[in-house]
Amino acid sequence: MPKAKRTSGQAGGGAPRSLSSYLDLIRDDPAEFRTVSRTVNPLKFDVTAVLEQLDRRGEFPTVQFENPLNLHGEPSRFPIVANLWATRERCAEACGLPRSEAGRQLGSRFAELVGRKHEPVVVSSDNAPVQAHVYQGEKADMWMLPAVRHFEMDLGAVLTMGLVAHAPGENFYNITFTKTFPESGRRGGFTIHTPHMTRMWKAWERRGERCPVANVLGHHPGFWLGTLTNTPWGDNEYATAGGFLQEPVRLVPSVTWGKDFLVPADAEIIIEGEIVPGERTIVNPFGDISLQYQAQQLAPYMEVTAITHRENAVFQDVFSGHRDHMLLGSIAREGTIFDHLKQKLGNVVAVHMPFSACGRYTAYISIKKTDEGQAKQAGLQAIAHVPNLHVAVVVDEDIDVFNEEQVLWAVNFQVDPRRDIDLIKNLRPGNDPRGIGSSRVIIDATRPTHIAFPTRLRVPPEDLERVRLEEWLDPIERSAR
Amino acid sequence: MRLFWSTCPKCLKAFVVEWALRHAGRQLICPYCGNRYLPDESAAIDDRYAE
Repeated sequence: MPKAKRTSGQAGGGAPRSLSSYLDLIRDDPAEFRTVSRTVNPLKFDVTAVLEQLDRRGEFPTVQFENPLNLHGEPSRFPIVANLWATRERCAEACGLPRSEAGRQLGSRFAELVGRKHEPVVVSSDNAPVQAHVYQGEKADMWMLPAVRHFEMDLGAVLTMGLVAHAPGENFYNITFTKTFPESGRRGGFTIHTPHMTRMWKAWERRGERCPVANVLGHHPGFWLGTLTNTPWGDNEYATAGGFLQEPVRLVPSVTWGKDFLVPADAEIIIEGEIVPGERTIVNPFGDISLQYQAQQLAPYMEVTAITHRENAVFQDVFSGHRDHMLLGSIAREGTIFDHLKQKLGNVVAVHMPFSACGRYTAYISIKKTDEGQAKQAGLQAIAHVPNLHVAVVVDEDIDVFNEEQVLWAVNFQVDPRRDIDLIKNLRPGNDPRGIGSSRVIIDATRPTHIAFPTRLRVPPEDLERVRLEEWLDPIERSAR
Repeated sequence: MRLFWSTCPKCLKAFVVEWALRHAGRQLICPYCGNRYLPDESAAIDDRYAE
């Protein structure tokens, strides 16, 4: 039987931020939050069929599936929540901005929050909601979860949330989104795509030791945005996540390793496990961010040691290859590039990672250009700083990088391919699982200033201001014949 | 990254596999029917590749 514990005694008087507290903020707005009460089988695509149809209608609410089946085919005790990050407005809220500031302000806000770290605090198990229920041994069964199979060629259900790890002998934690394939209740292969996490588990493997990990299945959206920062090796990502939450992340000693491995006290569900050194299992295909399937491959696996969850826990899933997934990473990269260019060059105005490149592979960067060559410098800095960024398009500040028509206009009419497009070869990161090449492209789509060159047409701004449509247009009934 | 397509000998559906598994002596798992088989047992293999 699960071990029940008291969940009261929150630090600071108010309730700490959690996924549950965030959902309470949006659940009364039907544009932001919808529920599905009928029984759904996440292995049979019931969940992704709902989300896909909403996507095709241009609607992106967070959806809570109240009655899913678990991987045993039995009613799950956990509802599924997905599409949490599917709008920029919700991401802005998660970063403490008003919904009206979801455009270029969001990238700069992200950059600001990266530097605003809050050191985590440690609480006892009695004060950790995530340890209200504890399962160990044979009872720690991942198949109790309503994991989602997303796409037709996916190998099976996948846990899409983040993994926490630390390197041997180090006291800082890395948190990164991974994919865990629960091939049985006690064992799951997973893929890791970030350099720090890869470095950590390989360090354990070189020592022939099992690498402790915690798979965190649900937390406040701000916590997750904080984990996506491109922080240097040695930074404690719990502290970075605290900056985004605007309060310290509360940690609790894990059930398996005690104070030697701390886990988020306010998470929904946590799987504790150990990566087995030198062993590999089959994972994938999986429909991923590029709207393609990652190929079947060998990957490390973990053996589960414990599962813990809070009272009335919610199981969080990312709808991969869709807005939920794209924005989750693109806003972090927009902020990372903005911050990096601000520090290195000082002339960046805005950065946007468009949906047309899945929020990952192309950056539209506007700069306040004062000299030729600055656009290429900006593009080079961005590509060097952000893994998997394939194309950097640099435009002038009068081009709105959130308006793709304007950006492509600049590419079409201000770019001489021979002069303004640069190909950079052999930059593929070692852990890029996709079948795409290793070259990168910088496109300088700023207006040339070293030669006589046309300008973009415009109606004089003062006349746009002077002529107000509501005063000048005839009423509809008078315009109609 | 080099890939190949394997067609499952049981359900005859194809899926994509990393090249590292082509001669690794490990069984593939068909995502459609769960059949486990060695790559050489595939009903068909598409391993076209260009540098």
